[in-house]
Amino acid sequence: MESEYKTHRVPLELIRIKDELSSFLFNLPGNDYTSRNSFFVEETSHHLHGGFEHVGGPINNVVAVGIGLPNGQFGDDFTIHVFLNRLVEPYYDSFCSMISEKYSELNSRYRIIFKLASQPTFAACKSSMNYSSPLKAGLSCSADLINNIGTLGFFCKLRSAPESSDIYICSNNHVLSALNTLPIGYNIVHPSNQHADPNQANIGYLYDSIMMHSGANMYNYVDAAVAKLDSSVQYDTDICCIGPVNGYTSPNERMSVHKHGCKTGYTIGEVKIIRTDVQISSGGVDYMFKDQIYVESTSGGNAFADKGDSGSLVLSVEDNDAVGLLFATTDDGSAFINPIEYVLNQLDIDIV
Amino acid sequence: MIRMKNSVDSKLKNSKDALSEKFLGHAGIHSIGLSNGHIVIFVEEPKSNEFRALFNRIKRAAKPYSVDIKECSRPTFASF
Repeated sequence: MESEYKTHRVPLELIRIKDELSSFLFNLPGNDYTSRNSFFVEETSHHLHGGFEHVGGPINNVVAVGIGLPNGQFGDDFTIHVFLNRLVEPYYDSFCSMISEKYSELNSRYRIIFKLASQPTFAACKSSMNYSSPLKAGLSCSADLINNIGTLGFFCKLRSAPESSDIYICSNNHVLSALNTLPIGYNIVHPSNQHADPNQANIGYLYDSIMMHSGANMYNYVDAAVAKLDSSVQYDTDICCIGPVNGYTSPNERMSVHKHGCKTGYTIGEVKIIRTDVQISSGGVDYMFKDQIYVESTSGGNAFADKGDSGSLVLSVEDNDAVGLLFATTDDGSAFINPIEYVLNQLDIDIV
Repeated sequence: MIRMKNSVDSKLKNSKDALSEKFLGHAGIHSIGLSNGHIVIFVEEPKSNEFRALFNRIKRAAKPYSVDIKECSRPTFASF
């Protein structure tokens, strides 16, 4: 490992240029804060050499500047990475041109890559497997006494009672209902049982689940269930490390998405394949799913999801619109997610 | 608030659905989806004799659409 690092040492000149660029962006009008952000550094460590300068603000939409590898893999040339939290602003093109012109030195020697990234937050929810109050979406939950770790996807209300103060939580059927095996009314706990957290608490009970069908010709569209949140539980509807959900949307290929799950935390990926019919085997039983969404990580070698992230809400990076409910992963950390429209319609719920 | 609804060529989707009914679960094929106007077949071992034998049938059945192969391990539920 040591020899590999030495082989790929970042040129000092590039670090100097990155520092200048970072200072320039930091001093643009509209920047309202700056800080070293340990969460972002940890989550994107594969990009890091020479550190990130965390800059941002309402005008330039820059969230970070760093030095990295185009595909997060050794063997490529180092590049300057400028992370923007939006690419839709009308001044985006002129902004990029301005940077390229100002740093002509960069153009001749190094490349600048502009990337989408959500506004990073401090690491308040890095301990996503531990007890948290207020309860947040993106943290651990499971059915009581079941050795299963999953993620609380989002808070919701029943469409049949929009004025009611009752709040529900949504995750996968296989997280809250253990693949149809638990009865309505079964206790739901936070954090999951396997975390052995002494502060673990009942947070509600299983309220409804969409029956999962097995067999070759029995298609499922969602792996979803809701639990009614106990009225005594303090909660925050923001998604951990992401923020509020703005709405929901249908995905298209190449859409940048992100999620927070209790296993891998905050990760970014890209929708690669849509309308995917997929066969999942569990305990020798095959479950067929129709028209699902396939997401791959865009964080270099880091997984987009892993076991424990089931139930995570996946959102578009651009607008923080809900895209789907994560339910399956592959060995390389890619994920399959239920289209959010199916989840909301089949459970007859709305995100709050 | 729904921001957008994306539509997919219905003939392409029908072709994908037909392939799923015939081939999903065979020769290591665990997923079949769509990407940029192509049909994508997820398979564990694309070099296996069983899959290679089946792939010619898949290509014929998918016409006029093209079929891409994606080597991918079999997915599992994302909890443990």
